[in-house]
Amino acid sequence: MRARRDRKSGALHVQGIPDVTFACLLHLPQLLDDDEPGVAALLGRNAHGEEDAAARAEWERLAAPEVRRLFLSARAIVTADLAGTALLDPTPRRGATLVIPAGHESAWLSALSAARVALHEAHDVNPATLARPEDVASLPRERVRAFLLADHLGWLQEILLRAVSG
Amino acid sequence: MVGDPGPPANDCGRRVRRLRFAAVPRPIAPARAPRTDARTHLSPPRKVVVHDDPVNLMSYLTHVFMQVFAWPRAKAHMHMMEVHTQGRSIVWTGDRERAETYAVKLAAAHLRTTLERAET
Repeated sequence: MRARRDRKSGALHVQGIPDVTFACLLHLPQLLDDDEPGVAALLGRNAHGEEDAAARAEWERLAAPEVRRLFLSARAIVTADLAGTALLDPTPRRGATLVIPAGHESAWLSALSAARVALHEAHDVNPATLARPEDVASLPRERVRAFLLADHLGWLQEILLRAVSG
Repeated sequence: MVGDPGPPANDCGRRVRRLRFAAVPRPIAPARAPRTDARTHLSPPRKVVVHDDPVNLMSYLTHVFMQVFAWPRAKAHMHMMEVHTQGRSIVWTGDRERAETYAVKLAAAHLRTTLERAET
């Protein structure tokens, strides 16, 4: 999997996406759905401590809607980009291609981070768990799925970061 | 026979006085200006703290710090390493309004961020 920038359009082309990673990617809008338990926890965070009730209330009133607005904006961009990509038939062996239009990179990075953090909030996706094989064997299926999704989305995020940072 | 003396003179006088006062509109008391304090009070300064979490990539933290604070890569990397090794890094200290602006940007990037009162 690698990313290259199209000189003409400025779009980022992530090529050679393996089938499993592509399947995880297609789950991204669903992972960012309001009904997902991790998403509510992610958006419900308050930067002020419990001892500062007035500041917490102010954060709820002013800052939280802004964080939510930015989250929804990133989700809408990613969903639209993915709909266009999903129409491309992933060529067997060469993998699928994801096209991220110029200026959409930040939304993608934020959405991938949101999905991974939401998975962690809901299923405790802590890489340290994977270091203990005896624990992995007894993990419930939902948590294994969460690990798989977080891992593949993290890989994609790393490829994007390298392309963006140069 | 002495006729009905009528109400005592004192009572009568009082009634007249009352009537006279009723006819004259009561002077309106001047509205009291609310007590204000002319001195300026600033909110106590806040520290913007980013905490370690097990899922966000180290390269992502560096990227976000560069974007939000317009830091050079070396400084962003140093704070990222502080988060990674010490569990938290104070990324900015100053007035509450700007601290909250930074906190919103970091929260929108889904970094675990808190605001703490800074000692003055």
